[in-house]
Amino acid sequence: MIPCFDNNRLDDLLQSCVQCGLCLPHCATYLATGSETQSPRGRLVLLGDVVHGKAVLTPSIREAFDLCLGCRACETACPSGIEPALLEAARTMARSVMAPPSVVGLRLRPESLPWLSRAGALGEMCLRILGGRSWRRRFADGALAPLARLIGTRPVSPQPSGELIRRLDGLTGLKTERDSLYAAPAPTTTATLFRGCVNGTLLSGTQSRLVELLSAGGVALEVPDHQTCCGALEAHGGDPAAAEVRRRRNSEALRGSVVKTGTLIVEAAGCGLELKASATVDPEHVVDAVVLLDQLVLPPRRRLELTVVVHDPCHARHGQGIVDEPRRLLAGIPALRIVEPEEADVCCGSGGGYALAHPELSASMGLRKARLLTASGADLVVTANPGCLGQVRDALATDSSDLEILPLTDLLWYACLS
Amino acid sequence: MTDRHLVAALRDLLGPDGVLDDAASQRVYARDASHLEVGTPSLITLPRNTEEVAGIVRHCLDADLPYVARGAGTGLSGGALPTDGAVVISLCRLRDIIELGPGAVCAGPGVTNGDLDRRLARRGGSFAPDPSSQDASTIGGNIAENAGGPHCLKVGTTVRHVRGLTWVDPLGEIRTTGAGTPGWDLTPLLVGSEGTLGVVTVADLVVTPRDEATATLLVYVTSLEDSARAVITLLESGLLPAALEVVDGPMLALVERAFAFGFRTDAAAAMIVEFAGPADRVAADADAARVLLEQANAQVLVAVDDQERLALWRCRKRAFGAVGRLSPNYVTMDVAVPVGCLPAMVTAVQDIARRYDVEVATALHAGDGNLHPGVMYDARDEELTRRAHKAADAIIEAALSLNGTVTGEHGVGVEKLHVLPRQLDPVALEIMHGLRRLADPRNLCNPGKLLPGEPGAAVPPPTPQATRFDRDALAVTAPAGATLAEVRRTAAAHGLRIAGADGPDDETLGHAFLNRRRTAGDSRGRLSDGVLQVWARTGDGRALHSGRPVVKNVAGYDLPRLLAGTGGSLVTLEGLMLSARPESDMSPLDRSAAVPSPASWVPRPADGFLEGMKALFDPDGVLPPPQGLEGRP
Repeated sequence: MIPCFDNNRLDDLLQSCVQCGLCLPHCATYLATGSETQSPRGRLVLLGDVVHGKAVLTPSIREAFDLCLGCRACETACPSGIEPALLEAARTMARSVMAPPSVVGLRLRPESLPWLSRAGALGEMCLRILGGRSWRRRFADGALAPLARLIGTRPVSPQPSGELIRRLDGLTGLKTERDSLYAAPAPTTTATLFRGCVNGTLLSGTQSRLVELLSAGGVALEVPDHQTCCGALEAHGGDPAAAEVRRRRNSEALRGSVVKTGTLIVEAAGCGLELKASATVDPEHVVDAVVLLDQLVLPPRRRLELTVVVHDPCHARHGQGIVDEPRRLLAGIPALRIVEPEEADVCCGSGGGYALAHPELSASMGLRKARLLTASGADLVVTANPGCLGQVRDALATDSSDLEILPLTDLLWYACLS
Repeated sequence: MTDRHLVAALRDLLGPDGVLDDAASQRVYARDASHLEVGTPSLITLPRNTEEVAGIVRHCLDADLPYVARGAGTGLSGGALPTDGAVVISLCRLRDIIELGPGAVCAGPGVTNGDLDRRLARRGGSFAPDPSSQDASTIGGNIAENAGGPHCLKVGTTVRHVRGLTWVDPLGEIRTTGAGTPGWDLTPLLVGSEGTLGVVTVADLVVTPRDEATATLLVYVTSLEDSARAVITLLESGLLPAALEVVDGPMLALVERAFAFGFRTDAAAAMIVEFAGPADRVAADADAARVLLEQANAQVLVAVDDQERLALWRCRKRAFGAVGRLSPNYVTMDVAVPVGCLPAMVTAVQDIARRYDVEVATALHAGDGNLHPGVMYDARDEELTRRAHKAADAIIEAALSLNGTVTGEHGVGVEKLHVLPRQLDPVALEIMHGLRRLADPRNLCNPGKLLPGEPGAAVPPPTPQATRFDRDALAVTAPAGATLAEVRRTAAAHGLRIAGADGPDDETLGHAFLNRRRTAGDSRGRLSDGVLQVWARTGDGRALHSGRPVVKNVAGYDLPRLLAGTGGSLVTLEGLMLSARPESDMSPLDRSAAVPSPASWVPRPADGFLEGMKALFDPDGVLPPPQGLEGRP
């Protein structure tokens, strides 16, 4: 059943699209397929038909809506100021009548992430034994594709700091002596940390380095118990009720602390956007970790002879307008050179559960992104979202690129060592 | 219902994801940026190369189905809209770019204008035409419409930047023309033909060196008429800005609301005046312009850096998209008038808006005399919609009465078919139809576009009897027998020059125009670059006149440029109108430089078509046989 939408409101919002087509070159699904049906303008034409009763939700229309990544690049490109609610409504229409993405029949739940973080490396080993070095290509389609995508695109960053240092020393040619930041100054401010389901588990090493950085910047952290996933995975997967349960739980767990500190630090751009949009806490208090780091006085950074390319998470760049902050943070590292890739504003095709629901399309978008990042001439990609981290890492490996990807926080932490 | 065999055959050719036949895609591809709809396509095809395009066309011929080439669907006149049952040939996967050397590049039609320009910028080059849709619009679409853009004032529209083309003709044959191909250059015929003569699959393009320096002025004026007069003052002063744009008060307010640039919203109009070229020259020109504008009581601000300059252009180029914030629907007009008539034209637009009680926001490529009044309406309000379309027709009428054109750069498409007979002479339109029938005897290649069914009804202006300067058009009109010296003198008297009028003093203008091949001109331009109107007599004695006294005009095929370099074998030339430019116009567009073709390229002249053209213009064969066609009888 299609949930009730306020057709009058959608009709009003649709009037702002003048069909100019300027969104097309910014849409990852259009670039990957070459089909205007898979473009923002195409989707709005179809949504208009559905809203005006000229069409019903046929499989082809449903597919067009469902294939929207929700990256919001079209909103940034749109001169007419198109509302996010439009494509959100289209996706919800489609997904409410479709089965949520699953892997060998099992739905991906935030609770399965600790399991995945333990089993991921083992799974990768198994796939490598089955498929050889190019297992990613071998399992690009067929029944194992979702599983291969799940394992291949899991976000990975060195957990122990020693391993991170070894990898970055290898890139920079430095020999780092310390393995943790200097003792922190007396705190000058307080903040609440949102742990997040992925950052708190698969990327817990990175999260602990973020905590060190914040502490070095004079931030005393509160980390309330009983937090859960922000709910984005379910909200975008067509299960708004489950998302609502998580919002309520987070609201209870976080609200007291956030009211006190005035800041909820969020590492993943997708979570930040979800927490803002759902008003789990006061949206004014939700601050992306990169934005906060950019405002702090951090320890002096050492020279790093590195060329770095920033891969902006869509939910940071388009969803929250975070573009300058990561670049300013990197520019504060002496000798480091920042390069911009082509199609910097185009989504890498991660999109939460999207990589599992549409393994082939998602992989082809990742590959396009990987090639453009490699072509930028950088030694290292940095990003600030676990989904992008996993997707781009997988695509670079598929493309046999030597380019590495790390969380921005990890590079920054490394730059603050001696 | 589409023939299942056709779908299967096309899937064999293009792969499973190369054919879309679902209902959603049929709805989406029935639309473009024009807000018009003429039919529902049966299939959408996504070929990857020239051979696949040729295969699709042959399948369409076999199945007797019309077809239409499509780029990014940013057209504003409906030129790429499919008719009922048509096959859409989407060219967005033909995205190869092959850099041939410093002066030339080969690009697939699916490359976006913006991507091409960014790629060329890495080596200090640029693709000069810059339609406002350039981030999305494709080279194929730019060629089909002979796209312009703000910076075409100095460097000319797309046709001036195409060296040659590879295309699939309506019989499914792969053809080449222009650079490297023997025979008359059909490039000026194909550019601006709105995909009615075949499907372009490779474009051999001119790379223009990036300017050393740029200076951009933002100018506030007290009335729209004042801005139009300021444009004339600037152009008559001998300055040649790279771009000379105007937006009226309503458009300025709208753009400010959308993009928060910091524009003064109380101004009646704003101008963007940009100079580009060598640094010292740019600084001097910008200073001179500032003095002239301040004398005319304008407030002149200078963009402090590239960031501000680009932000300013971003606002200008996205202006029409922003209209959606104010009005759900609008008719984007595209009339062009002789620059001298701009003040009268903007007054007429304002009168018309009042008379029909509609809101109009206007952006002008003022230096080219090209206006884009956007007449706003809400399609849900029938009465308002009716008034808006009446106002639009009245604006077209006003432009025609000032010797203007109904379309400067957006094309005729389906939108302006009904007004075209009022602009075209009967003989010119007859010849255009003849060229189209010659290329596409089955009438399957983008039918129902560009050329109206009704006969031309315009009365041609009298053939020039003497060489004279036309102040409104900033052009020289001369009989074919005038000498080049005479033409040069007439322009020089106003501090101007005629592109390509170099040559022996006593050579006649007609001889120079007909006998200099487009590929053999000098680096300072060629006569065909600036030709605005032509008067001629066909072999069987029909008086042919084509063109308007405006620099941008895409109403119908470009007969004046097609005739350049064809010798005396198609027509007897009687007179020409040529655009006169300031001496400062030295932009080097050197097509004669020896630039290699891609290794795989082989010339495939349009056999049959060239002979057919001769028969069309000279049915009794009384004019001399073609001399210029190397390698053919």
